[in-house]
Amino acid sequence: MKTKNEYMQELARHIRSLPESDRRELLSDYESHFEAGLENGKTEAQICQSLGSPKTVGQEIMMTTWAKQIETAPSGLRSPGTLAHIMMMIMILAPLNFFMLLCPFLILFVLVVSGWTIPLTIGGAAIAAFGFFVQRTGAPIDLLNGLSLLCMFLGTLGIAALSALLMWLVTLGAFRILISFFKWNIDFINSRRAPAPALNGGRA
Amino acid sequence: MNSQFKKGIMELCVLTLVKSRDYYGYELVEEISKKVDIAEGTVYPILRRLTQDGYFETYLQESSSGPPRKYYRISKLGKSAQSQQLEEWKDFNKNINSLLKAGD
Repeated sequence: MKTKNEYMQELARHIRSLPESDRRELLSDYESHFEAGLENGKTEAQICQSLGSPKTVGQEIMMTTWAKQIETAPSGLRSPGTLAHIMMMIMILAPLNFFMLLCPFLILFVLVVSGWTIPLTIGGAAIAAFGFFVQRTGAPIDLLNGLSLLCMFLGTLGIAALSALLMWLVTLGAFRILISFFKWNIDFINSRRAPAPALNGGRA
Repeated sequence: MNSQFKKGIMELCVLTLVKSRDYYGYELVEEISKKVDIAEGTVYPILRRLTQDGYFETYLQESSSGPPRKYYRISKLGKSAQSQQLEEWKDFNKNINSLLKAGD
């Protein structure tokens, strides 16, 4: 590479895939570099020599442009390492999550399920008992007995309904706890993503 | 030397020079190549990236000879990036030195 024109043409060829405005701006940087060098008494050949081959420079430009594109990509894919990093954090957190996530989940699950058996058994028992009494005592039940039986039946059903309502609230609460724990987990992974590698300021 | 590594150091050098005073491209490139053997053309992509990242602002200023020059001025963001990278570099340097001493 001996002349400025040759150099500029070759460089332009290597960065031809850049957007028009970027390419023009960069080429004008090198243009100015040549002018300043000539003003300082250097020859075009010397300047070409010290700039480095247009291929090297062009590749360097393309590399920084790609790195920039990756960096400004949608937040989920901000850096090439991000996805890998998240995967790694999930794996690192796996044993922790096994105890921290699975255990509370199991405990809550068992509590909720066994909790629900209370209203169900009470309700079921009330219905069964009512049926049993009706069957056992035969058709003609006197009014007093009938009423007290009915009251007992309705009362027990009421207790069952109340405890069902209570269990419904408990179930909702359990879900909320699990969801917020999930959120905390994800935040934790995200917060571990921040520190930039030394020296290159986090750029690839 | 690992080019990724070199690039990181070049970035710190560029930031540090422009922090000391405003430079135009050619002047900055010459300043660096006096001390470091690099392909001078690779400094411009660094300048451009640092400008895009908001570390530098550029302005045009008439020169006594020839067309106006594009000057680079460091921003607040650039200054803090420079301090941070300088600290990282010092730490790194210290650790490597102690490693090398251990090898003696």
